[in-house]
Amino acid sequence: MPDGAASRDWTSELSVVSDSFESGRGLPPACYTDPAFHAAEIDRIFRREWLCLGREDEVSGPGDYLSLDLLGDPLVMLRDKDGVLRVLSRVCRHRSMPVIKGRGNTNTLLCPYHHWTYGLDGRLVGAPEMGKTPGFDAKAICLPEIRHEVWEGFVFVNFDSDAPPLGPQLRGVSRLLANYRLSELRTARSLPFDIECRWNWKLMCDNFIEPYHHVGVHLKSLEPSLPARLSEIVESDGPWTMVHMRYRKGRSPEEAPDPDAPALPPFPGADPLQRRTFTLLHIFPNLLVSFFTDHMQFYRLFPEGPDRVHMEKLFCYPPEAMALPQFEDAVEHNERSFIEFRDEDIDAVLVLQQAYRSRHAQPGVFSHLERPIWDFARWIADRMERA
Amino acid sequence: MTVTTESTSLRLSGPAGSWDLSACTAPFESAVTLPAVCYTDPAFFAAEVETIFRGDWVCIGRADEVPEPGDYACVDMVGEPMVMVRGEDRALRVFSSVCRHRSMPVASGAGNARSLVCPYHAWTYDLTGRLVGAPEMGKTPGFDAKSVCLPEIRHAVWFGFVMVNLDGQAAPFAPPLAPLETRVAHWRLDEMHSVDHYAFDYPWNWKVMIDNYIECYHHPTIHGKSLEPSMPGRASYFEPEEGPFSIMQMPYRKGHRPTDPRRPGDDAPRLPLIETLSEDELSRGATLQILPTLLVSLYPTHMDYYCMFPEDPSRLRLRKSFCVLPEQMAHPDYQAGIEQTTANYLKYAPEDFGVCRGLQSGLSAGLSRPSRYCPMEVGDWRFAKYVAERVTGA
Repeated sequence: MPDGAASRDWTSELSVVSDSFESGRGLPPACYTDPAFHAAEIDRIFRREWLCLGREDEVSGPGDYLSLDLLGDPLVMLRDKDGVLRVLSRVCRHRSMPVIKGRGNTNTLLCPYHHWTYGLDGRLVGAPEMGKTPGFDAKAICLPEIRHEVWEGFVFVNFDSDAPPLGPQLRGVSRLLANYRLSELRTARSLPFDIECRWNWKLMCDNFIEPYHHVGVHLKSLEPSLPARLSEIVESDGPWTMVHMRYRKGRSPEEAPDPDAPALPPFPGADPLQRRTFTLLHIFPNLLVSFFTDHMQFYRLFPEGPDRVHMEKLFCYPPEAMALPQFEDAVEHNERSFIEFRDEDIDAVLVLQQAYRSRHAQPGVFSHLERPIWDFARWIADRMERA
Repeated sequence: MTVTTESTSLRLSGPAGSWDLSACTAPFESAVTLPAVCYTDPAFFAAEVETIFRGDWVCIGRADEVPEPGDYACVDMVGEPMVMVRGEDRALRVFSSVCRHRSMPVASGAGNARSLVCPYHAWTYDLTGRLVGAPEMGKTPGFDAKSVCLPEIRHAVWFGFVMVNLDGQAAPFAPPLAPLETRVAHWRLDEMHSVDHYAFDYPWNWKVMIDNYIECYHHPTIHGKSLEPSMPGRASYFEPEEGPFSIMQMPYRKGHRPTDPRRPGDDAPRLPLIETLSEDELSRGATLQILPTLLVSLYPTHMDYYCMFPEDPSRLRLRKSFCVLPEQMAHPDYQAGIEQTTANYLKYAPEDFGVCRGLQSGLSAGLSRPSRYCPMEVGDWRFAKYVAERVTGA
């Protein structure tokens, strides 16, 4: 960590955020560019809060595993032989080689370096040529398990064993989204970003959760059907924000189906209003979820530096939709559509990240439609003001 | 830590302000070149950005690039997005182009527009930088669009060159250049039009580029077939120092002047001569370095110059531009002439690339050491003195 970052007090820089939205501004631009701020964020936020890794159905049966790198820690999410989901460090307890990579199915975790072998519960079950090492007790050796919690099918981890559980903090969200039957949705596709994502992780969150930018960035693509001014910001009661964007009258997917797109039925549980709504959800700090009328998308989002983030987009569908003949085509179509909008956003955030270096960049001035950005800034500031 | 050619300390390092570059600011007869760390160290580069690229005057283009009301051209320098705009009142202004909403650059590239519309949320600014439209801001308490304006960047126009001073603190640009003005008058630079631009992204330090450009010592070796025949390196000389600029004269070899009869076999198209030049001015090229980065080359047929935008110690974005007078553009020989001129440039310029690349790699080596100057390198010495004095505050 850069000198002084561990104990540095950011209170005076962050005072501009202020205690009320009415007088509030955004985080100072340096919070998106400064390596010292980033290092302190990792320490005070990412090592203490609930971080979304993915969905539990990405590893659905015993032996299924998915390797992920989070904050420089190689991890593996897997199901053990009893089908229990675990998140383990995948760094060998011998000399720190990652014991596995990629995704697949396996009976054991076999380190490629010296063939130390671990069960799916992380316990060391084999270590060749270690018999002559005095005091070496294989039975006492285990890959560390990372505390996790599953909320509505999303797998969250927390490196802080004292952090309060996540579920109770998100009861309000669960109630609001009950009709989507979130825990039953199936992860059908994951799309890694094929470019270097050279922007700060918070820039992605800010861009995602505010509907205002439809009038600029998505003026031709989304604004005609999902205009910024028909958005409603949901009042939040926890570490999250939510925005409902209503389709313009006559422009919802049911009223105006795209003739080139294979149609899927709306979410089975959705009510008439939800069938005309596009909903955005941000669970602090790193889960961004969007609800279309017939499927859900979310980002796997891991910060890697002040101006670098790992991103992947995942697409989840109701189980009923997966049985339909047009399902595969619909998945392809949704992926292509996403890439179009994503590219409009990427053009903006790439340039924005550079512009934050300017001496003339300043903390954001907000429209009422950008309330969720301020809520997030306030949440960040609360955690960064104390060492 | 002092720098000498025989020093066993091979590096200068330490926080800004601890560099002792007194050996570089010594008189020419005893001075040494800037130590390698000045070309490679991020801390030194950061100090250059503050004291030179923000603290002094730097060229971002020419006024003739935005001739008509509504014309705009964007420039990014040392992390500052800027835009040059010609107002309805025909005044030229330079703004920070960073939107007052959430800091998105409001414009990119160049063009003509009645207003600048930010691509992010459509905040709209008129040509004087005033905010005239901001959708969905009506519910923000205390938001007064009328009081919001793009910040103006201090600028000066000198013979058509648009100079900016990012920190607003530098002494006025033009007065120290008064002795230069009569020397360039015949080229009528403020009447010139920019007609061709070439943009490059080089993996070497901005000073490597300048050091190379302002000496002809390397003509026989690097440009042995391209420039040396017509502009022999040994014939070049520097005018005495009269201000914060250098004039390097590059006389043509006899028989190669544009006024000499064509040599047999030479039927390449040429730009028409600039008719207001004296016979002496027609017998040479001249390279001006207006410290720090305005490098202008004056020829009997045209002017070309550089804009320099350093990104880090080993990366430089750069633009080379060619400028001519209106009467030349109206001449029947113009089109073929400008094409030949720029083609010649594109042929000899790459001869320098290998050198510059090599220099950056050599300067990054632990065993690089400063050296004494050749008399043909007066410009390099003046430039090194300038950098040393600005960065160390000496």
